[in-house]
Amino acid sequence: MAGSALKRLMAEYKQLTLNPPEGIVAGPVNEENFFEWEALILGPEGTCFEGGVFQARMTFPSDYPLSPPKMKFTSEMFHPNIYPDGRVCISILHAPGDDPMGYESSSERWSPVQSVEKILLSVVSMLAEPNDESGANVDASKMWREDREQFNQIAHRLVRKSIGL
Amino acid sequence: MVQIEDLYDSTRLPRWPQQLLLLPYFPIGLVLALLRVFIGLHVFLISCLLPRNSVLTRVVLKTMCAVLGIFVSSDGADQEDNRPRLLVANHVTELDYTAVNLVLPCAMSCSENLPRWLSWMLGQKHRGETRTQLSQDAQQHLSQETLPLMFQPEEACTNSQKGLLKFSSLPFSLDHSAVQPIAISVSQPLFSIGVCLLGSSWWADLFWFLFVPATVFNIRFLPSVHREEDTAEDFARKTQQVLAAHLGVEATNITKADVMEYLKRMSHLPQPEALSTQATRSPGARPKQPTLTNTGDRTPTTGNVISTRNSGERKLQVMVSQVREVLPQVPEEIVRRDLTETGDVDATITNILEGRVRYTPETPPPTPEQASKLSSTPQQDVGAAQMASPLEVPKFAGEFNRSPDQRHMSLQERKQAMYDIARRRYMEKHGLQ
Repeated sequence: MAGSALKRLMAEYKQLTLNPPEGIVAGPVNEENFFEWEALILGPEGTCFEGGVFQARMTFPSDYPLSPPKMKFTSEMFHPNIYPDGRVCISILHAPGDDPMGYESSSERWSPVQSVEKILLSVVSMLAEPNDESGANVDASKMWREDREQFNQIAHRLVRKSIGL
Repeated sequence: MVQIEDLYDSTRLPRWPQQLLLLPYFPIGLVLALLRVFIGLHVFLISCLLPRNSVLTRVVLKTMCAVLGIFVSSDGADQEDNRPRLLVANHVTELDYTAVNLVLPCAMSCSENLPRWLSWMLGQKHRGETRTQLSQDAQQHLSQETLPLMFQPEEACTNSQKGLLKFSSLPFSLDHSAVQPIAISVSQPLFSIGVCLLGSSWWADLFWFLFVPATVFNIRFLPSVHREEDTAEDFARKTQQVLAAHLGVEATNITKADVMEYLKRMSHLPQPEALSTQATRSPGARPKQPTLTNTGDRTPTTGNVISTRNSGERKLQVMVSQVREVLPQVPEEIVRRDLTETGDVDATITNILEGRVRYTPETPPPTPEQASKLSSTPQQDVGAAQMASPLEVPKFAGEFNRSPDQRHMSLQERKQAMYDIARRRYMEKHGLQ
């Protein structure tokens, strides 16, 4: 099982290296362990996260791609769909059946047809358009809804911090 | 929480003391099964000749079924005079309908799990393929005919000893004020050969039915469940709970689709020998995970699924699924064709990845935007990315070097490039120095 997971991860790494989606760099933290990746995501243009470089860890299970990886931002984040500890809450990271929030349709869930690239693209669009119905970070959700100005300020601070300025 | 494997018997073998009996019984059972196949054909002919729904037919059929080893005991069949004409039963075996029909003549749509001809022989009517057609037909039946209509909203067999699958809402969305729940349980005196194995085929089930001395269907008519101000889902849930409570099992949220998915996963498990070779070849792989041994334990149950094919075909199928696990976008035929040539999972994966095998991906075609992205030169390097105009979102492509060290260096460089470009842009935008 671990063998086919490894092959699949290798194939995805290759694909992501030769043909990465815009504003994304991702690969194993080190070549010894293909089950632990680091991804850099460029904050999407025209959003409050524009210009930031956000770092995230992806941890793959040994039965990948049957089970989805876990993803956790290591950069500081403030976003309705990211838990305060950095874990990302989007439907593509959940296998059909486990639905902690009870609002996802199974079409957008994890399945072996999904990929690291698709996850990262989902995360980019999540950064651009937060879903304030799922409150992974309730404070952020509330602020996003009620005080966009302050939310943008916090986001801007995080952008600066993320690129070390 | 009830798991999918709890809903099925894990083995056909009876428990320990009965196992001893099985040995001398085996030849008898075999002959019995053979005889019963022929008797079964007669039962079918007779049921065709005799008028449907007459008392005589029922008596004759009951006797013939007893010869086949199918006994039906019912409870509460005659209690209610104006029972709802919509019957809802749990699903234990494919013969449920036949058994209920002996007690209370009713109609049922074809089961999806049987071949068409067999469900026709069992007296099930073919209706539309789609849900809307099915529900239209059912509605029409209820308004025009007097015969009750039976549904098995679990849509797949379970042993009904731990839990019931989630009910499909179809029968509950019909315009009918109440349903008649029917609890079916199956027992096999003398030998109990599991009636409901995960993924076993209908013919295997049928064979074991004819093999055992007798199978008793206990059919119990429960008080009808009335629709109140519920949605179809709530109504389905309510009925499921009534049935589950009566059977003393849990009303689960597992659907037929989940079971199918589970089966598919099980049949995709690589063979043990393939596993060990892969493990030795990849020193970077993590040590075996506990989940591995877990799933490995269950492989024997799925043996049933694949055993219909011969071993060569089966091996190929395993290899095809191994490749497709890694590359799900490649159509199955392409993988199969290349595998028959190479006979090796690794070689085929390499062939596909290096573009020696042409294929059209199975996922929906990319949007023009994505297509242009794909056509851009793959060997764009870091330098090119830095040259990108400030308005464009840069792509950080690199070469995929065969040497892990080189590859890793390139990754680090690309990461650094991303930081650099982001910083430079930020400073330009905000007029910083």
